[in-house]
Amino acid sequence: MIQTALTLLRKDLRLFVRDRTALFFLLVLPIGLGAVMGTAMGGGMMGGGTKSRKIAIAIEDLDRTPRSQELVEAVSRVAALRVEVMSDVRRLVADGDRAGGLVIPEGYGAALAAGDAPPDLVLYRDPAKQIASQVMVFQLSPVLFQQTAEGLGSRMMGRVTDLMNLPEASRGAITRELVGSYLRVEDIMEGVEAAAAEAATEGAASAPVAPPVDDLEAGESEEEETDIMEALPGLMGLQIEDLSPPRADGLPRSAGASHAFSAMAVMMLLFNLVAFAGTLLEERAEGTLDRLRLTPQAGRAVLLGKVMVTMLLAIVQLALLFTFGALAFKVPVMEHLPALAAASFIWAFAASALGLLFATACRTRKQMEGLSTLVILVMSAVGGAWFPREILPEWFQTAGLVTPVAWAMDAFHGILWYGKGVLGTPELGGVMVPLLVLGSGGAVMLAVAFRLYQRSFESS
Amino acid sequence: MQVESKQHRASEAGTAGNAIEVRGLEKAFGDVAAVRGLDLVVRPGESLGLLGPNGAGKTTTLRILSTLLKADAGRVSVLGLDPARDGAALRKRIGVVPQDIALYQGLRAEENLAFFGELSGLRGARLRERVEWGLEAAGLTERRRSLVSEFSGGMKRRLNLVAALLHEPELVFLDEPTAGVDPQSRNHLFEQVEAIHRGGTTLVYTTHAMGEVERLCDRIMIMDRGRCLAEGSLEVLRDLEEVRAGLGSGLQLTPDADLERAAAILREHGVDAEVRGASADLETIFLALTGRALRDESQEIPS
Repeated sequence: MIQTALTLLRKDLRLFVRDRTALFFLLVLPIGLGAVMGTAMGGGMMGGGTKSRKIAIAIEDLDRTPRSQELVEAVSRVAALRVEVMSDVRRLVADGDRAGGLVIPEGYGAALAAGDAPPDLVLYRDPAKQIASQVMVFQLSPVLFQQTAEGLGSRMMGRVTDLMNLPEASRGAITRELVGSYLRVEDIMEGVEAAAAEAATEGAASAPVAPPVDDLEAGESEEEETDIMEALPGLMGLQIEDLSPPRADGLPRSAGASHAFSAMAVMMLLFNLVAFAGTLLEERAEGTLDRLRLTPQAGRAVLLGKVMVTMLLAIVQLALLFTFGALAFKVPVMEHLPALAAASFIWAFAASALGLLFATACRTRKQMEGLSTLVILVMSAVGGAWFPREILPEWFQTAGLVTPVAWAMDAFHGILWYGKGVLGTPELGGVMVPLLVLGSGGAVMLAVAFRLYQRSFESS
Repeated sequence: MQVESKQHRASEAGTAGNAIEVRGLEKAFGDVAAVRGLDLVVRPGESLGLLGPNGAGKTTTLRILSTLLKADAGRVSVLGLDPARDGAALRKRIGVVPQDIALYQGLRAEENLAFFGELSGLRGARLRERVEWGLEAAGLTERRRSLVSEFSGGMKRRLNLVAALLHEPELVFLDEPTAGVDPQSRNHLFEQVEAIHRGGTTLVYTTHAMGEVERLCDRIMIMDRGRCLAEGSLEVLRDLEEVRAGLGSGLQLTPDADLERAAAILREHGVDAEVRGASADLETIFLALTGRALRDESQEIPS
């Protein structure tokens, strides 16, 4: 029995190693995807690290003084941030063009020069780009603290001690701990904790007494801890405004749901359409394609028919997906229905063209499945269907723009999250550019597919 | 050489009005020459049997004649049209029965016929009438609503045949239409082919079944390595020098052999046998012309 099993094993191994597609899925695909994912998530190849990973932050300097310029330069020195000095940053963030934008208000430099508390800086954030905006606040904190400490020391101390509900007697100790050269938020928190502990051990009898820090950490007063974290930007003179686009129906927007349905619309459609376009190769293998070509009326209509049916299937799939999203997850599908319909139609066209490009470029269905799986997964990763593009290394973001996935994500996410229409308004941009890119890209891919069809399907 | 003279004679016979007229046809796939200087004439209403071992260039020739493939060189006229230039017009007038079962397995029998009929230009009542004809001719009227995937090999072959005949073509190319079917289905298919031939349709028939060619074809062309080895009626082929030479040293003798002399030779070698005259069949002629060596299938021309 064992001998028989071994004979069967040898047979299966022989068949497996001679199946190039199976070998591709076993060996090349995981390694290829691992390389892409590893690079995307920060691990440079050969220990290359993450030098190119930077979060773009737009800064609008309304103050235009040496002090404001100092602040811009200080932020520019933060390794994890890439500063772009621009105007109208609020709109840029609202449009989704930047994850965050810092506005330095007028009077900032003058107040610092006079030793007064300067007007708050304003950081506009895109809640859809949560990771990037959190990184941004974290990276900005030491710079802001350093830049504004001299004018904000007393105000900050007042806010801290109020929040901690500390006895008057211990406030001096806290101030001694904090005011000085703290550059990092963690240091501030450590200082607060140390001061609180000192106050507790000093046995200040007078009530109220601050709760021990251990209790805070144990979650007894999580709300207060959260308050402190949320209050920290304020302590540094930073006012944060999350630009969550309003919905006409008054419901809150869910960036996660919008991203998820956009990503599904983009990635799953590609898989389905490429699989369907592969029927062209099946028809060639089975001989029905030749039979079609032999009919007087088929001719080039064969490929056109494939384009039309793949587009129709795509539109049906997208309609079902968005209907489900609207019903189950309150995705604002109806808000800009014409824009969503236009985006769906154009994406269906581009994705169908890509599917046919795969089908006409490959010789067999197996070959097409291997190639298309790798390309679609890589495009989805680089194009932002798996995770937001802004957290990827810069060259990855640039490479993403070569893929239709990035433009399709921009279009769908722009409509579903940012509430954009096809055409822009004075307050908000439109999705015309991504749609034009997708449409023209689809036309080019289709033209190439037609050419390949002529060369490899009509001449053999 | 006699083969060449036969070939030349056939070429010269080509005149205006021939169903097919081919001169100096060349086609190569990379370094492999599939067709090398082929001349061919088929007269209207004639049935030509195209024979040859695997890789002989039969299918490549059919694909060029039926507009699926472009020739590298040579002049080709099919029903007075150039397949490379007048493809759409020519396809209205020809039918091709492919070697593969080129049907949609997920469609019903009548759906397949209606689909191909429509693409052949049939519409409305005419389309319905031809679909009914096709189902009846294939013996599948009772199974019209069955999926093709549920059919036996013979049923599929029958449907495969009639799907090419719906638009009543003037010229039909049949590429091994009876391959792999049971005798009953083969006979049914053959009767259908004979019926359309009797109706005046020109046929070009390729097969490895010599009996079918003997039964159906007016003329036979034997191809090998992209060239025509011999061409003519069965009687003409039997008379070829190469065939006689190939047969003369064995026990099989050509019809006009000197039987007495043959018997004398046998007696000289100690064999006391009765020597009778018998006609060489087509398979014998085929092997005499193309040889008995096995052909390497992997060298076959891509179709």
